[in-house]
Amino acid sequence: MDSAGMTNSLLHESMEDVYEDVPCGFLFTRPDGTIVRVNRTLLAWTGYERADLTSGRRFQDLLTIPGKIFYESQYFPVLRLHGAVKDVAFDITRLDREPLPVLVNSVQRSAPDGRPSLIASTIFDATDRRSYERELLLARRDAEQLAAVVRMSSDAIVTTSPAGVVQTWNAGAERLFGYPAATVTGTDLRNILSNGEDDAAWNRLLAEIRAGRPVYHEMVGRRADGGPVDVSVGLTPHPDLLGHLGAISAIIRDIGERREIERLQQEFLAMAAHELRSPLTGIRAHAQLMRRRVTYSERGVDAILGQTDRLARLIDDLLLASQIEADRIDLRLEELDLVLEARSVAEHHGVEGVPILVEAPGGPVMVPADRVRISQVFANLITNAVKYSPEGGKVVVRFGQTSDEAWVAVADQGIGIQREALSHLFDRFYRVPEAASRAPGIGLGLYISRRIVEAHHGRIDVESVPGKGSTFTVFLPVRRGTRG
Amino acid sequence: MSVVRRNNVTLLGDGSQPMLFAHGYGCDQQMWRLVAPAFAPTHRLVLFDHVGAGSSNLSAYDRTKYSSLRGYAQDVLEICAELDLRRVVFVGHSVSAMIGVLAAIEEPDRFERLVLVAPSPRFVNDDGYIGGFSRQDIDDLLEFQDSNYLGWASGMAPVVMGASDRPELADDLHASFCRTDPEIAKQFAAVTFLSDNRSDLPRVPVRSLVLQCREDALAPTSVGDYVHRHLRDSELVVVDTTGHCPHLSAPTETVAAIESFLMRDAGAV
Repeated sequence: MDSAGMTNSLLHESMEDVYEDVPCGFLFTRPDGTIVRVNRTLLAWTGYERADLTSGRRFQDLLTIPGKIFYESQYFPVLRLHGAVKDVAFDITRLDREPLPVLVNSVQRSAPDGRPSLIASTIFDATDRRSYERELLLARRDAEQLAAVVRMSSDAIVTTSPAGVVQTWNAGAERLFGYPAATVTGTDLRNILSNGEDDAAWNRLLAEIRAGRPVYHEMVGRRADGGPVDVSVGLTPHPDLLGHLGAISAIIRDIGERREIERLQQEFLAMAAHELRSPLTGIRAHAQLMRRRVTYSERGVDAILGQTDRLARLIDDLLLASQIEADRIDLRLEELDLVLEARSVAEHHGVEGVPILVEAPGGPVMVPADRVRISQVFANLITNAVKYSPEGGKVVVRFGQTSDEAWVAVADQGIGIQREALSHLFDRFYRVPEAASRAPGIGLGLYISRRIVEAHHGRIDVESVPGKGSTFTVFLPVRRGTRG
Repeated sequence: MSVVRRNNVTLLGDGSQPMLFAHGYGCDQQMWRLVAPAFAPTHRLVLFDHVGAGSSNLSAYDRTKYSSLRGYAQDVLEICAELDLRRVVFVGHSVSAMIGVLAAIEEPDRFERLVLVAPSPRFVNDDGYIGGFSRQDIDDLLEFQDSNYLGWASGMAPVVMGASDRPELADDLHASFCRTDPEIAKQFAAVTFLSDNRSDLPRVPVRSLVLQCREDALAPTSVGDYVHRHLRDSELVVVDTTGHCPHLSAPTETVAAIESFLMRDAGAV
């Protein structure tokens, strides 16, 4: 062999070595996928002997089931019509059944008549890449979930720059303040949260945040419509890589409802103190009078007893309200004739000038109920009706019954109730504005009545025409454990 | 938006009787490249992309509408209505075979024949029914798609143009070939591989051809037999090829089978 021939054969051998051992797999198949040639690298990766693969096996048969579906429905059509595909991810099932993640690049060779004759594929080990991709996908899924939480949250969730310039503004923030994200992004959060008047407080918060401490503060924000909104603001500092303040996140919650309850509670305390004080004043006055005169006075003692009764009722109401709040109403159910109970209550609550008419039906109206509690409801309704009736007006009590429920209606010809007040009528501590100035009370009667009736699985309705009068109707189920 | 624009409808051919081609999961109307032209002299060819595939209008994609094959069947009927197609020969591949089944049941008068290419009424095995896959296989496929689309979007679509050894083909295929939005593809895969249309087969009102590949991992011969047995009026032809796309792997045989199916009883309408 001459030296040129020697060189050529060496070159050929070297190229064969490169083909066999280069760090990527080579695979040649017929158009239907039947493997005709494979290099050593791919054999080493998969654990197969050469003869295992070149005795009629098809490339797609080496793939996992999802890969096989992908091969038939996407890889093959693209390769057939386009002549090449690049970087398609597959898992090759190795001899030991473990999957080998790979990227496949294929080129289709055609015979002179144009029909495909051979597919040449280079195959890269994608184990590392696939694990990165999986992490990326998982991270993306997590991020999407978190983004959904922020999006759906009823709280306002906002992020700002270290200077307080709004960067993100979620749907909760749009609802709470009425500003769309596009309007607010890029503006100072201070404009919305501190309205100019509270700059000192806002600056203190920012100082805390810059010192790396999360802060919580309650303040009054400004809505897009100009109205104020009570909010709690939780600010959290997010440090950057160098430990400096990189961003601030704010969770802002509407505390208007809580504030309103606090306000009502304060009003209630003031009112309760006043209500408790006035019978005491009466008792004290009568006692002092008797001492000064050094005589026993029948009228004085009656008045004192009357006032102690009033005090006892007030205290009972307060106790009952606290039990109701704790969801602890104990009912002693017995078969009760509502007509009898209403009549008895009416006899004790009539006053001069406002007659109470009990329009009794032919027979009794029986329901299972707690006698003491139901009497309390009737007393509340009848007292109210009398209290708000004009001189000469009358209060009428009516009854009715269906197969499921019985009802008792207390109608007056009083001042009536404005429509806006109706929906709050049965709320705790609520007093109709016009009524509050007209008659004493602590705003618990109707609230207690509603809760007692509900504990009986009944309901209480009101109809009212301002200036003409109101009708309160109590519905109670006629059988135990059924809803009216 | 016009239906023609929405579904990227292509009209070809010199004949009058319409032949409507519906591509399967994973590709677009160019799948019919090697088969449809054979019918151009005798038929009016109507090709289209399902919404979400190829050059369809992606903004028309509606996750609720396309959460079942009925949404796709509705599109087929809308194309027929807009182009006023009658006596339609519907040719549907894989999942689109079932889309054609649903459309023909809905409006029997529109259709004269169905050609069902590698059909499967249900891919998942069921009590006494072999679809070829377990439910777990399909869940794995949906997972697998996720990882593939990371590479698919960046790697495959732009590069397929370059290295073709059939430049005459590559030239007139445009760059959107088999382009699919990953999220849409995922839902289409779920709808395709989790649908069950077995009970629809006996309700098909027109004569049908079942084109079955000799060896098909997605629709095994037992599935082709099942479809043939449950259609009221059908012919079964097994094409001597492997894979799920006889119109690509054996276009000549596929054309011949469809031609002879259409020739038989022609004129007896």
